[in-house]
Amino acid sequence: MNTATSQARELTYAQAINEALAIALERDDRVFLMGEDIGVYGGAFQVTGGLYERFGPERVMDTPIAELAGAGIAVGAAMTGSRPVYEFQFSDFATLAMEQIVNQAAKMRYMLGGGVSVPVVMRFPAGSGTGAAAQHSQSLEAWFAHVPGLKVVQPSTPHDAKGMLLAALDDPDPVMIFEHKLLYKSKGVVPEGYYVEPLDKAVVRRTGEDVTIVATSIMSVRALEAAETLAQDGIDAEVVDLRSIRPIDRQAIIDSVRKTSRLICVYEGVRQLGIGSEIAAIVSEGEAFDALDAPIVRLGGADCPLPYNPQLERAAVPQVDDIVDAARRLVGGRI
Amino acid sequence: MPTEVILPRVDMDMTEGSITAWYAREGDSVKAGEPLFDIETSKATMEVESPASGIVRKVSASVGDTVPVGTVIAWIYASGEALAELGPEPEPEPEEALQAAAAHAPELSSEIAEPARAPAAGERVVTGAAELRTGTRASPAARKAARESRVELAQVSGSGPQGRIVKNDVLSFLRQAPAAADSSVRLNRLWLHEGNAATLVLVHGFAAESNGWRPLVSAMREAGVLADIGVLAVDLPGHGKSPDGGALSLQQTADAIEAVLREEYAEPVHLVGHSFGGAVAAQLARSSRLAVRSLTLIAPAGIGESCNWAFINGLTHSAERATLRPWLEELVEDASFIDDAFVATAEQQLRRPGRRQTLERIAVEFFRDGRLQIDLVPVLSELRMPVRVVWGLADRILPITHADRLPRNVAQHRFAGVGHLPQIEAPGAFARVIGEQLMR
Repeated sequence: MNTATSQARELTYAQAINEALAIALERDDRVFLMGEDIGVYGGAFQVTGGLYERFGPERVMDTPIAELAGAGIAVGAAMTGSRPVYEFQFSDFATLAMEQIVNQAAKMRYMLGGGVSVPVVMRFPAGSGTGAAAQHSQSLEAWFAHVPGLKVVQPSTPHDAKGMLLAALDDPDPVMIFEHKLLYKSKGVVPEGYYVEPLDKAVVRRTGEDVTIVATSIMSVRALEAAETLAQDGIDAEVVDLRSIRPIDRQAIIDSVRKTSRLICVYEGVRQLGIGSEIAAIVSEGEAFDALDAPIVRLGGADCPLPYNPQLERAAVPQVDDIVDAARRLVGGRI
Repeated sequence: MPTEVILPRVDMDMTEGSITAWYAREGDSVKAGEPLFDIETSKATMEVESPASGIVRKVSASVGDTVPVGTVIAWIYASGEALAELGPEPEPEPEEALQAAAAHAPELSSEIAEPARAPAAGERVVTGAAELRTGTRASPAARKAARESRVELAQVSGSGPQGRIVKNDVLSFLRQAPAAADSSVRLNRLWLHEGNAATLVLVHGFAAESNGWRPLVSAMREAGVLADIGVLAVDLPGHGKSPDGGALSLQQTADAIEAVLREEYAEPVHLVGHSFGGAVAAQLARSSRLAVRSLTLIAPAGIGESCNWAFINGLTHSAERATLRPWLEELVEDASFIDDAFVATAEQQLRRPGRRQTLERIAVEFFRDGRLQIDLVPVLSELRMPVRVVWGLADRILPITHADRLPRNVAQHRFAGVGHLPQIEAPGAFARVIGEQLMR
C-alpha cells in the first residue's frame, strides 16, 4: 500500500470515489468518464458531482440510455489508448452490456495474442436495501467473477473505494468495480492525494480466534458489527474482507481458517453457486481442510428475486443478526 | 393384519437376547425403519428398527427381560386396525420364528454388519460395539488430531450435533488417557531458524546428522533468501539424537518425519534431502498429505544403480580418526573441507552406542554390495510440486551419471568442482537454488 504523504480526513464512500476520479482526470489526460446522467446531474448516486463543471463535457460525458453502446465505446476507447471509466446507473443494467464485457473486453488480450489490452474501468452501483425492487437491487458480481480476463473488486470502505479505483485505472486489463449502494453514505478516513490499494489482496479487518467470517462488500461492515456483539458473548470472530473476488486471495482465507477452524461466508448475492460456494471449496480442497472443526456456513441472498416490500427485502439478504446467530450456533457446537 | 415384532437373530451363536431399551411404549405410533428397541447379546448391543408403521401394541417383554430368538415381543397395528379384530396371538413354530427373525434383519450377518447409513438427527448412536462405529462422524480437525495422536476415533465420544466428534473431544480424551500408545519412533528435530512463513525441512544423509546443516542457514542468510522462513532439521532414526526405531522401510522413515512436521505445525513445507535423506524426502513428498511446496534433492540415493560400497563400509567400520579421515575425504573434491573439526564430529557420531549396528543395517537394507535397493525415478516422476536436483560433477559416492536417469519434471543443477556435499562445498550457489524454490 502506498500511503499518502498528506493527512487523512473523513469522507463518505461517494466522496472518496469522486476524489479518486478527480485525481485521475487531473493526472492522466487519457482518463475520461462516461455514463448516464453523470454530467450535469452528477450521477444517480451523486458520485460524479462537480466533475462536469471542473473538467468539461469532453471528459465527463453523458451517454444515451443504451448500455451496450456505452460499454462498446468504452471498450473500443480503451483498446485505442484511452482510460475510460464507464458508470452503469444500476449494476442490474449490465445485463444489456454483457456482450461487450464478456465477449470483447475480457477476451481481446487473448484473442489477439497479447497485441492489445483493454484498460477499461466499469463501475456498478449494486445491492439491495434501497426499496428499488427486483430490477434495481441485485448483486450480480459473481457472474463477472466467472469470466477469465476480468478483475472484479468490491471495496467496502471509503479508503479502499478510492485506492482501488486508482489502482484499477493503472491496471492494463478490464476492472469491474461493484459499489454497494448503501455504502455511498458511509464515512471513513481517507488519505489525501494519490495512493493505490492492491486489486488482489484481502484484508483482515478484525483478528479473532474462534471463527472466521469471510465477507464481501457491505457484508464485511455487517460482519464487523456482528463481531462486536459476539465479543460480548465471549466469541472472538476474525473478519476477513475479501475486497476482490477475481482474483480471490486464497491464502488469506486458508490462513485464517487454519487459525480459527470454523468458517462463515457472508455475501449478498444469491447463496447457491455464489462467492461463498467458491470460498467453501477453497477451504475444503486445500490446506485448511484438516483444520475444519465444524461444517462451513454460507450466508447469502435468498433464492428469489428481491422483494419490494421493505421487510421482505431485509429478510432476503444477510443482516447483522443473521451473522451473530450463525456464529453463536457454530461456535456453540450446534451446527 | 398387524405385524409381529420379534427378537431377531443378530449373530449365529445367539439363542437369546435381553432387551436393554424401548424407544416406543404401548400405544405409541411408530414408522417403519425407526429405532424400536435395543437388544444385547453376549457379543454386542444392537438397535432394532420397527418392521412396519402403525401403533405399538401388546408389548410382552420389558427392559431387562431375556427372551429366546424369534419370540414375538410386540405387535404393530396399522392405523384403523382394532385390537378386537384379532384373534389370539399366533404362536409361531420355532423354525418359522427363526426364518422370521432372519427376514426381519436381513442386513445382519454373523459378524454384525456395519450400519447401512449414518444415524439421522435425533437417532441414538449405538455404543459398545466398535464394529458399529466405522461410520463415525468426526470433523476433519478431530480426525487430524486423532491421526496425530494415534487415537482410535471409535473410543472417543462426540459432543457435537448428532454425536459428531470435534477436535476438543479428542483432546479431552487424550487428557484422560495421557499414555496413548505411540508405536513409532519419535525423531529428534532441531529448529535452526524461526520463521512464520513456510518451513524449509532438511533431511540429512547416511551417517550424518542435523547439525551438519548449520552452515546452510548462514549461507541462506548471506544470499538474502532466509527472510521469514523457518528452518527445521530432522535426525533420521538411529542418527544424531534420534532413537533407533529398528528396521524401518523408506515409507516408515518418511512417516516418522511426517509426524514431526505435523507435531511442529511446519506446513507448508519445502523439503530438502541429501543422499539417503533425499530418498526419504522424495518418498515423503509423494506419500504424505502435507502441503509440500517444493522438493530439493542433493545427490539423492535411488536414481542410479550403484554406489560407493567401499566408502559405506569404510565409514561404518573405521575405528579411529586417522582411518576415518580418508573415507570422509571421499565426500568432497577439495579435501581441505574435511578439517579436524569435521572428522572429530563424525567420529563422535560413530562412537554412540548402537550407531554402527544401525548403519550396518541401513547399508545392507538399502545399499547391499553397492547396489541401490530403491528406485526413486517413478516416485519423482509422479510429483506435482517443483523438484530440483543438485549434483556435484565430482561426486565419488553417487556418481553424476545417475542424474541422466532423472525424469523430465526434475530440474537439474550440476555443480562443477564439487563432490558429494554441494551444500558444504558451494554453499552460496546451493543457497540460491533453495531461494528459487522458496519463491514457489
